[in-house]
Formats: sequence, C-alpha cells, structure tokens
Amino acid sequence: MKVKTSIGRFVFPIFNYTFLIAFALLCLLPLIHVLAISFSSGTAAATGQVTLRPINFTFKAYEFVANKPEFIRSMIISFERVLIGVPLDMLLIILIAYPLSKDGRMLSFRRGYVIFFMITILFGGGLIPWYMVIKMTGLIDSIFALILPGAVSVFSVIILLNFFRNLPKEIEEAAFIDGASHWYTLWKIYVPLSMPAIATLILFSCVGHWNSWFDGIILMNRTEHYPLQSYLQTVVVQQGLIKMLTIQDTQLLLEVSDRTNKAAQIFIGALPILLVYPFLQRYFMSGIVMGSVKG
Amino acid sequence: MKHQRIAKLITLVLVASMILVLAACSSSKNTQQETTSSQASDSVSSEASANPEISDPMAKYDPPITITSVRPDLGTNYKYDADETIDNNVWTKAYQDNLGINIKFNWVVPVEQYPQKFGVAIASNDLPDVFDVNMKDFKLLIDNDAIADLTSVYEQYASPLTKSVIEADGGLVLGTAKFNGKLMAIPETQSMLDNIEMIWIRQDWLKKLNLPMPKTMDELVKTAEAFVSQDPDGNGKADTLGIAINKEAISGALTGWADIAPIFYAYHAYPGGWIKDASGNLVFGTIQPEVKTALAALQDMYSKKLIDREFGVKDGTKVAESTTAGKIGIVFGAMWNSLWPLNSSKENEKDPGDWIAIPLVSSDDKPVLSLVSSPATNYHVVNKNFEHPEALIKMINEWVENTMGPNADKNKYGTTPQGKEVFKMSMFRIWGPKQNLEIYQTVLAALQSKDPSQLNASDKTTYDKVIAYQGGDIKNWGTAAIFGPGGSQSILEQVDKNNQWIFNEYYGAPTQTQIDKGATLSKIQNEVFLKIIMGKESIDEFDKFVEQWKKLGGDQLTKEVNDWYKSK
Amino acid sequence: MEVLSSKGKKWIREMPLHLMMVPGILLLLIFSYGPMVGIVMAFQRFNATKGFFRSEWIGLDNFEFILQIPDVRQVFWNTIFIAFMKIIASLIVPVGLALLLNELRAKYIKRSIQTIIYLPYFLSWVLLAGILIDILSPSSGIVNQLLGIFGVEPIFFLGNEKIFPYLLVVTHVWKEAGFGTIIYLAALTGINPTLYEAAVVDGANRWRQIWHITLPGLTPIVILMTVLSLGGILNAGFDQVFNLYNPLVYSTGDIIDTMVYRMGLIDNQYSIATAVGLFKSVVSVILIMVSYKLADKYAGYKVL
Repeated sequence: MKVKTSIGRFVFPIFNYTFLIAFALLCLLPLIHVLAISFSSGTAAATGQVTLRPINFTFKAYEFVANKPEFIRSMIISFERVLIGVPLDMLLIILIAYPLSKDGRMLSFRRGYVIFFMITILFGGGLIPWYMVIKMTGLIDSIFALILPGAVSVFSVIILLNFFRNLPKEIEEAAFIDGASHWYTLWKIYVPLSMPAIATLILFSCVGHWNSWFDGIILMNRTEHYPLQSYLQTVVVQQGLIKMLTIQDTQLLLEVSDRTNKAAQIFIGALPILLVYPFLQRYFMSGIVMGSVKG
Repeated sequence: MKHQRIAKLITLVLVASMILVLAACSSSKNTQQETTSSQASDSVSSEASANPEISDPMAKYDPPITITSVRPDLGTNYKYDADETIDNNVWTKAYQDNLGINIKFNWVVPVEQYPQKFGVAIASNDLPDVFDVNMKDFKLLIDNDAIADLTSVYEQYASPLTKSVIEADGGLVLGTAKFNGKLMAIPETQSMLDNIEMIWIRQDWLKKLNLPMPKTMDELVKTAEAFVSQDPDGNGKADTLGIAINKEAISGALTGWADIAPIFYAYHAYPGGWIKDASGNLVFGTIQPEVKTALAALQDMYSKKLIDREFGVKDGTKVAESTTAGKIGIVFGAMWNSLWPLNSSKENEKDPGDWIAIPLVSSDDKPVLSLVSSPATNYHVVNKNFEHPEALIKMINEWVENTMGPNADKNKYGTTPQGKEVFKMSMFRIWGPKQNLEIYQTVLAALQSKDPSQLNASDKTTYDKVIAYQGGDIKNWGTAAIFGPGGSQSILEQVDKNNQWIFNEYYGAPTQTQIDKGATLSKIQNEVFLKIIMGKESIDEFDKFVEQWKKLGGDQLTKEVNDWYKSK
Repeated sequence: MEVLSSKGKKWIREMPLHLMMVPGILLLLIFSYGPMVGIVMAFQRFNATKGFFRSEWIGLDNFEFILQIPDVRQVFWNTIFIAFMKIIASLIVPVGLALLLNELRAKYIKRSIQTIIYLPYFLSWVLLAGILIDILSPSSGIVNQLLGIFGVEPIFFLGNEKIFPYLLVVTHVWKEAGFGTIIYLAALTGINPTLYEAAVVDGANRWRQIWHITLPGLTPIVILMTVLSLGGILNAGFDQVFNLYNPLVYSTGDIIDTMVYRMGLIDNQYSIATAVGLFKSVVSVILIMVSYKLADKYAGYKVL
C-alpha cells in the first residue's frame, strides 16, 4: 500500500506537468504561427511557407500598421469603450446580483424578478427590432450605443449571485446586528469577499467589449467611429470571390490579401486583451480570501 | 396567491415595456410625417421653378436641393488630398455647381460591411433618397414597394449620350431593371466581356517539358498530366497538384478565380444558366445530359490526380496560396487574375511563375462558348418618397458628361495623372460595354506607334506600366499581362469577334421557388457534383440528382422561369 | 396593527434591495424587452415598408415552411448532436484542466500555463480554419505525416463525414477550454482551506482530498454551468462550422444556422430567421426548466 502511494505521488505530478505543458504548447501554436507570419516577408507568407518561424525576418508589417491612423484611432475607441463599459457593467451586475442572492423571505417578488431576468436571456426579437429600438433612443453612431444595450449581462448576474449566496451567512448577520445597511454590507463585505468571482466577471466583460465587432458595424455610421474589432473585420474577413470583380476592385483585393499585414494587425489587436488576464490572475490565488475571513 | 402576484407583476412589466415601445414608435412616426410634409411643401416650391426647364436634362436646381444617400468608403488605399473628403470632393462640387444638388451621406462604411449595414437599413425601412443596391435587395425593395418608377424620368431627363451608353448592348442590361414594364432602376452597366474566363497556364513549365500550347480539351488534359507527373518545378518531389478549383465554384458558378465552369463549357454544358432549347423554351443548364459527360470527364481527371485532391475544402485564398507556392500550373479565371493572385507567383523569387492567358478549349470540333449573365451587379435606385427622382438621372448625366462626353476631363474626374481613382467618389456610374477592351486597343495602338501623346491620363498610366514591364520592372507585370500585347484582353477581343458566348436568358429577380427552394436545390447539387468528381458516387448518381432536383421544386422553378420569359 | 407595522418595516428594510435593481431593469426593458415586439415577425410575411403592425399575418406558415425543407430533420439532428457533444466536452475538459492546474505546485508554471491555454480563445475561426486546413491536409498536413510514421494511411479529416462532427468538438475544445477553466479556477478559490487541513490530519491523500473536498466544492458551479449551457442546445457554433464545412460533409455537418445562412443569401428572409429564433428559444426554455427542476430534485441545488 505504502509503496503504491509513493509511486502515485511521484508519477502523478510528472504526468500532470507533461500533459498540461503539452496542451499549453498545442494552444500556443496558432498564435506563434500568426506572429511568425507577421514577421515574414510578403512572398514567404503568400506561398504558405511560414509555419512557426518567420522567413526573411522583417518589421515591415508593423511599420505598415504604425503608419495606419485608422488602426490607432479605432484602438482608442475600443479603449474608451472598455473604460466606460466595464465599470458600468460591473456596477449593474453587482446591484442586481446582491438583492437576488437573498431568498424569498428577504426579498418580496423574488420569483417575479428571476423570471423577468431569465426571459431576457431566452428570448430576443432579432437584429432588426433591436436596431430599431436603439435608433429610437437616438444612440446610433455614439459610443453609448455600444455600451448601454448590452450593459446588463444576466449570465454574469447568475454567476455572481451564486457566489454571493455561498458566502457565510454569519458575517452578514453580524453586520446587520451592528446596524449596517444593505448598501454598506454589499460594498464592505460582499464585494471584497467575492473578488475571485468579480475578477472573473471583469475579465468576461473586458473580453466581451473588446471582441465584439458586429454591433459596431450595425450601429456606427462612419468608419472613423468603428471600434478596433469592427475595423479589423475588414481585414480578417475573407474577401468573398463570389462576386465578380472588376479591374478597379483588384486593388482592394491586393491589400486585403496581404497576409503579413493582416497577421500584424490581428496580433496587435489581441495584445491588450491578452494582457488583462495575467493582471487579474492575482485574484485567483486559491484559499486566500476565505482563509483570511475564517482566521 | 403567490402565483397570482407574480403573474400580476409580469403583466405589469410587459405592459410597461409595450407602452414604452409604442410611445417610441408613435413619436418616430410623428417626426417622420413632419419631415415628409415639410419635404412635400419644399418640393411644391421647387417644382414650380423647375417646371419651365423640364426638357433640359442638365438643368440646375434653384434653390439647391439636398439629397441623402449612403455609400461604401474608398478603402484605406485611397490617399485623400488635404481638403478632400468623401463629403467634399470634385464630384460633390460638380453636383453642387452644375446641378444645384447637395449630397449628404447618412452613413459611410467599408465595402465589406456595406451589405450588412444596408440589409438592416432596408428591413427597418430606414432608406435614404437615392442609393445603390444589388439584384437581391433590388427585388426586395420592389416587393416592399419602397422605390420609385423611373420610366418617365429616364425618358425625359437622360441625355442622348447617357442613353447611348446605357443602351449600347441593345437594352439587354437595362431590361434587367424592368419589372412589369416599369423601369425601377438604372443599372450600372458594365463590360459583359470582362466576365468571360480564360485559361491561365505556366509557360515556363510548358517550355521545360517541351509541350505545345494546349488547343483542345484532350491536349489540356495531357498537359495537366505532364504537369503532375513530370516534375515541372524540378525539385524531385511529386508535389504539383494539377488544376486548382476553389470550393465556391463547384456548382459551376463563376467566381473569377480558380473556377470549374470552363471545363463544363468544353463539353458544351452550362450549369447554372437558363438556355433556350430546340422548342424555344428555357431549360436549366445544370440538369442537361452534357453536364453528365463533363462530370464523367472531371471524375476521370480527378482519379488521375489532375485536380487538386482537396479542392472541396480550399477556398479562393487557399488556392491562391498553392498557386503562388508553385504547386499549380493550370487555372481557369478572369482577365484580372494577373493582378491577383498570379502577380505574387510571378514575384516569387524562388520559383517565378511565367503565366500567360490562353483561350478556352473545346472537347470536340464545335467551338467553346462561355455562359454570360447580365453583368450588372449594381442598381441605382430612388426612394419612392423622394420628390426629385430625376435628380438621379441628372447625376448620371453628369457622370457621362465628365468622363465620356466631348468635353470630358478624365484627368480631373476619372483617374488623376498620379493614379488616384477619383471616379470612385461618384456613386452613380455607368460604363460602356467594352470599356476595358477599348483601353487595350488604344494602348496597343500607342505601343505599336510608340506615340503616347494622344492618350488620356489613365490610359497613359497603363501605357507606362506596360513599357516599364517591358523594361524589366516585374511589379508591372500584372497590368502588362492584361493590356500589353498578347495580354488577357487580346483573348477577349477574339471572343468578342467570334461571338463565342451564350447568353443566360433568365436575368430577372429570383422567383418565389428560387427564394423558397433555391438553397436546398443548390445544396444537393453541390453535394452530388463534388461526390461524383471525387469518385465517391458513380456517374449515374447524376440521373438520380436530376429526378430529385425536379421533384424538390425544379419543375416548378422551370415553369416560373418560362412564364417570366414569355411575358417579357 | 402589529402585523401591519411589521409588514411596513419589512418593506422599509427591503426597499433598498428593490431600488438597486431599478437601473438594470430599465435598461433591460428598453433594450431586451423592447425588441421582443419583433417576435411578431415570426407570424408575418414581414414587409419593411409596412412595419410590424401592418405586415401581412400568416399564422404558422413560416414554421411550416421550415418543417417542409427536405433535409430539415437531418439538419436538426446534426445541430443537436454536435451541440450536445460540445456541451459535455466543455464541462468535462475545463473542470479537468482546472483540477489538474490546481494540483500544480510551481506557481509560475501554473500561471503561465493558465495564461497560455487561454490564448486560442482570442483568434477568430476564419484564421483558425486556415491553420486547420493546413495541418489536417492529407497530402502535406503535419497530422497525417505523424500518422504516417505509424503506418496509417492519410485521412482526409475535413472531407470525411464520419469524422467531421468529432473534429468540430475537438477543435472547439482546443479553442475554448482554456477560457472555460477560468470560472472553475475562481470557484476553487472559494473552497475553505481548513477543510484540506482537516483532511490531512485525518490522513487523506490527494486523491481523497480531490474526491471528497474539491469536487463537491465545484458541484454547484458545474450544475449552474450545465443548466445554462443546455439552453444553447440548438447553437452548434455557426462561425466554426461555416469556416470548416464543405459539400462532402453536409450530411453530418450542416447545422440550423448554416442552413438559415444559405437561405438568407438568396433573400433577406427576416420572418423565417425570427421563426427559427423563436423555435430555438422555446426549446431552450423547456431544457433549462427541466434541468433546473432536475438539479433541484436530485442535487438539492437551486440555480436561481
């Protein structure tokens, strides 16, 4: 028995490290491929020679991007969107999740509220009515058209309310006995104790805002107002050859088909969001939160 | 008890949201009415002043009118001058100064995003005064009764020159914009010839393997066999792929690059087209026996590895990659393939491909004909509620005047001497039916006489590029391979001279069955064609496919198309 | 009197809770409930000029139209099959990865791996499809070259109708699993460390700790995610399928969304699209309700 466990203790970590590192490498491949293309010469990329190492190393694609005011302009819009959108999203999510985390005895009509919120994730009117409503609100072509319509993520609310519910009741009760208000309890006890969950939802919200492109295309009236991912759709989407092209169009095709520039833009476009996660990771340190409470 | 309360709450919430929406609806309706009524009163006053000069197609609006529109932008390649914007340029100035028209764009988005943005605009009835649509949306707008009948304004306002350009093909393309005898749009007429495809072949491989230029289908197959088996790139590996086909082209549709249709044409089969049969009725090209012959030939070619093994999976971009990498020696495509993607193959230092365009080949002694559909992809239309439908015609007159008229200033309104394509600033364009062929002929004459002094700026640019290529500048090969001596336009010149094409007789909008069943019908077609070619199904599956096609709505479709044809 | 005043007190105490939700509710009323008026399109032949209230009413014709499409059953089955396998895989793999990551002792390796497996999520399917076509190619792809070493004949993965659905699941996991682990990693932080300490004192090894402490600690979030993801049973991933499929694999790879897309290419059939959307919603509601009840009954866990 004893021998077996020690072998298990020895073998399992090796297996675990090997497996996870192998999986991680597999996940790294596509990004390395994109990077390699972005640093290769146009011909090397066009002939499909580039796999994981740049061929004829060059910074040309990055110079191209740096000289593209449209790219930088749309990136600024995306930053704006995240900076306004994420705090607003989080505020709304927390403000809904807290009341809903109470049970029916503490919150009248709780079931009604739950149904009200669930319906919004289950039913939708589709693109056209959605557009018409936003047009009626007069938000078209403003950054708030990208922020307000999706500001309440019911999915995130459900996750957060489940975290809230699992917090030990004793702390809250102690706070109430001391005369603390709901508002105080929420911000001074619930939120600090739920940082791992909130960090997760911040990440989801950042990713959502950064990556969404469709709303920009439908709701903005000028290319200059596009957020980055809407702008990049022009680059990423394959020029459908289904339509017959004229000589005049080939110029466009030439630009679109330059794979090195494409790759550089895709990479720079993803970089900020890739950096968010490592930054939020400190909130995922196992055990710290609950331990400090109990201690 | 509890349930009742919840029910009450939900009702309350729903009623509240309904009220909210209804209020919003009605308020927007009110403003809409206000604007239309104000527009109406505007027009009364302007009509009064416009009436006396109704016969003058170029008459100026006084006071000026404002027209709303929407448009795609010019792409990031277009270099704007300091004071030039999409709202303020030589064309908007021409409209203002010569016609008294101020054009205001409600939105301007990249070409790639235009269809989506426009689809939403149509469906939410958020349309500007004058705009461009494709055939599909055109039909929808007519169904929705959203656009104006242009029959009388075209008659009244189109200048003789405009009419001569639009109707140069005998009114064929204009006919595609007529519904129940009413002219509902002005099509952006284009060259029909430019859509006709040719064979692009690697001359250097032919030379290396001592092969003649293929003139028949048999010879082409033999050439392909040599290209696959005799290691034309000399790297000692059997890594050349034969003929490349992109996955969107399997049905025989023309995509302009790496198409399969020309092989069908070699066997006198015209998939996707509506062809007149002996009795004068229209029949669907896809289900004719010639297609079976062609499929059998394709199956044979595939089994001999003369067609890329993975062609069902690769799209145009992927095919372009293999081509540039020197894996492909024969490809069917349009005259512009030298500008994309063959130029990359030419510029590939490791293995520069020496591509040349040659005419399509036939499988027998009958000449090969290409299927030609209406070349108009763009229709200029006017909102039904707009008070000045004639303004569109005036702007088209302005286009014709500035780019083709006796006093045309092509350097200012067409392509500048610096190569800037200013003409793209004008949305309401039409082209002559042989525009590019004429450029070729003009440039060729200048090349032969070595005298470019008579050329306008854009033709001179073309001329200079051909000269530069002949001087060794490989970057200009793409243009030279089209407009230079022996370029792809010379192939089209022959096609034009010998009338080597067959017209797709159905050019109306999709019929009801096409709308309802079209997707299903093309799905089974793609599936069967691909499986037969790849040898996964026997060639006799084709007969079953024809039966199935007819049953699943094809017969109904044929009837509708013929009804349309007879009523035309 | 007594009762009334306590009721009144309850209201006063509750009031802040209700007020907190007002901003969110208002936004949802406008931007989620507002557009729901458009559901009427599913029962209309929608005409943009006439709008939602004056378009022609055609009852259930749009639904009948969908049901008479010749291969609609096959397409529905494909959708459910692919989506169901994806749901299962997206539960098992991320939970497994989170557990394995949790066992890593070297903090920096753990963090790096977490970050790396999260990367593919940010690449689009257009791009990944291009890469997949290359590495799965029967003639030059690396996968087939590796298989070749073991004497396996080249397999045309993307052209094989038996393999294709599984390929969709595997590549889906590859792209999304890393991102999916985040939520479970967050949940792991909620497990009380004193439980582990107590278990060690009791002499439980790692396996027992995982089995008796970690897994039960994750159960609520796993149930929650299962219930929520079941609502997506009719969404098999348009972007992925659209970029990878071809006529050879129509019989197993064509899903509702790609079919609707191909129909939409011919005409802007917003009524049909809305009818499909409504149908999906109804199926989601049923599945979510059933799974909610099951979770409550068998695990004693109320998701909401």
